[in-house]
Amino acid sequence: MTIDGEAGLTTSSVASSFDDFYASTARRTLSLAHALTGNWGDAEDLVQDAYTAAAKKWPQLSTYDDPSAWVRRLVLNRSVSRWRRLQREALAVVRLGARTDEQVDTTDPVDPEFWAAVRRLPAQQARVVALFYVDDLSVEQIARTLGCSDGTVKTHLSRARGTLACELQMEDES
Amino acid sequence: MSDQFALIDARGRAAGAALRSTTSFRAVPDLPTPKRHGWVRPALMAAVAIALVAGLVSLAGRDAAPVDERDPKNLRYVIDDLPDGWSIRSVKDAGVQTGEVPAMGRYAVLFAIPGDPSARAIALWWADPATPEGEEYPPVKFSNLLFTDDVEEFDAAGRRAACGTTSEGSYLCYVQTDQGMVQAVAKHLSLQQVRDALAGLEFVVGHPTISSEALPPGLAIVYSGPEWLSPAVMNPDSAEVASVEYQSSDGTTAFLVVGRAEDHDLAESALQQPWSALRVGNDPGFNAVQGPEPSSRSILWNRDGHTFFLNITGDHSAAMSLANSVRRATDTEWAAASQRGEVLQSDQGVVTTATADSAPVDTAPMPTLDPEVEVIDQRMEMVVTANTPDDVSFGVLIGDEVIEGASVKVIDESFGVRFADGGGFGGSISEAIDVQPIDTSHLGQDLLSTGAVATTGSDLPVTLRVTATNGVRYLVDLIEMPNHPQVRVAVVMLPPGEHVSSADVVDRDGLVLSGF
Repeated sequence: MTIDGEAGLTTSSVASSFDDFYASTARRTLSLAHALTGNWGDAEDLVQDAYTAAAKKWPQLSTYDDPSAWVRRLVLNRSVSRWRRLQREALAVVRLGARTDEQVDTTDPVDPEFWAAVRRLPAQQARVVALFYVDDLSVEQIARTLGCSDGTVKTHLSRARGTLACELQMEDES
Repeated sequence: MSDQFALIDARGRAAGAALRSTTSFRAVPDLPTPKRHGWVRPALMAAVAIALVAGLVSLAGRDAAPVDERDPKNLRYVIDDLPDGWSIRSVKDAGVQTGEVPAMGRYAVLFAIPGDPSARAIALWWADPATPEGEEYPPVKFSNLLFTDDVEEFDAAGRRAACGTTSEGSYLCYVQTDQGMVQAVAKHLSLQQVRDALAGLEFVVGHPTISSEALPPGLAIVYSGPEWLSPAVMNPDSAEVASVEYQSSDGTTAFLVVGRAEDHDLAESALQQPWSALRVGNDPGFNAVQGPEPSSRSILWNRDGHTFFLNITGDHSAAMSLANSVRRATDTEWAAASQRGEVLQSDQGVVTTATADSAPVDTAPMPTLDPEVEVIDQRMEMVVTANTPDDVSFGVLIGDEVIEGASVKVIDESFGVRFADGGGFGGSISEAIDVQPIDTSHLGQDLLSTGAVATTGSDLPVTLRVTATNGVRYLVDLIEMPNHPQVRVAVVMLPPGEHVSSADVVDRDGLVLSGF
């Protein structure tokens, strides 16, 4: 649900320096990256690349209301190629009548089955889910991050929830 | 399905919290230093050594050699009057692309008055719906107009179109074409001028543009190509510019970007910031201020065939002092600066910018569409009661009083509700009109800090009941959406600092049908 107006706007304070910005946002971004990649190695690579790019653009980014949105978008964009590969793998497995066998680190107490199911969603749906549950962003903030309308975010979120409900229920039954 | 949604939502929130918690105990990755090419530092050291040995170059002197206007070295400028405590953090030559701009996935065309970013302008954005970019970044929908004012639908030369006024006073418009939706933003133009311009929307070699006959007087294309995060003239990473980054002892940074004026029209930044005219020395320039003091200040100006962009956080006099002291750097100064700061080298390869082709190929007449944008903007009477009248605020009145200023808009498949009362509070919600019979995800979860909303396609629920964290309970009857009697809505807004403790919808007998 979108809320505009005085009570609904959330304005994050802009970190006074890049180091402060990195220290205050890197872990949250790492969580997002892990949700999208499924392993810490890829997630750390994504975060490292994104913040390296942000450091170079910091004088400009630091003037933004929310520089972390730029970093989030970079992480989301750079996860696309991996997404598409996973999508292809998932489709191939479906054709073979079996479930995808994406490897998850079962030692992580982060409900790997849930995130594996998220990663099998269409890319944009998965991004919305990750931003919603990991970054705890509002629909409006997600829309700004992804450059789409609030309604589009809600549609993705609704469809993703429906797919996840079916898929995870199937898993439970199996 | 609503129960499943609630379960998924709870599992997602728990999984997200667990992931955040796990991450909080992990070390964040170290950031690598910018990549260098192995030959850079030896080459610079050799250059400096040669200069010192020969004793031919004065640190304060100017280059005597003839200047090649296309030589990237010609764009090397520095700030002469640097305040105490400031130093150079990095330098970058033209021809070097640093960093990476996330692909926006859209095509942009900007029409403006050349040389004047403060004047009227109109821009188009479009993504080919058949491409991955168009799929990934659906650019435009009429429903984006939900939160603009004075939405007006019109026929743009046989195409469905609509415009609304944004909070900044610009027009946000959409035009439905056979090639997909086109978004337009216009400033300092009348609505009629915008409508006339959009009537001249055409596709040339697969990209949108506006015919010259339809453009408002004085406007010309100043940019066309991939959507930019910021135009090259304001982008220190661009291969088209040289740039110097300065840093003060307290961490404040300043950025000087220099490009060739023939390549970078000042008007490329027309929609980026609220520019106003000023002078930098004897040269015409523009100034933009953003944010509270100490504000981010940007200054744009042309001089000696070059375009300059300076960004600094500070007061006006400090910014102008720096701008007025910008001068060409000598090779020795640049080499010395390069030794003190980082020499940024390309790690992504040079990025070139696509330009629009000019041959019109899309000459087939567009099919005429019956305008179908459904825009209803009317007051919605919402009667709310509360058990603690003193705590009721934000237009949520007591007894049988009516929320004043609540309005509903319906645009295509979405609706929006906007609130405003005499005290100045404003709030709004938007939602797809294709709602589930009872969608529990709307009951507070997305409105924890501000209120609760219920939408339903069922005729069983009659009342939304919300209990705030301060114990106040609100009751509001669901009402039908204008022209959509199958969808009903109820909204309660809460005072600042209060949250939804519980929310549910009940039927006529008070039976709870769904709750949060």
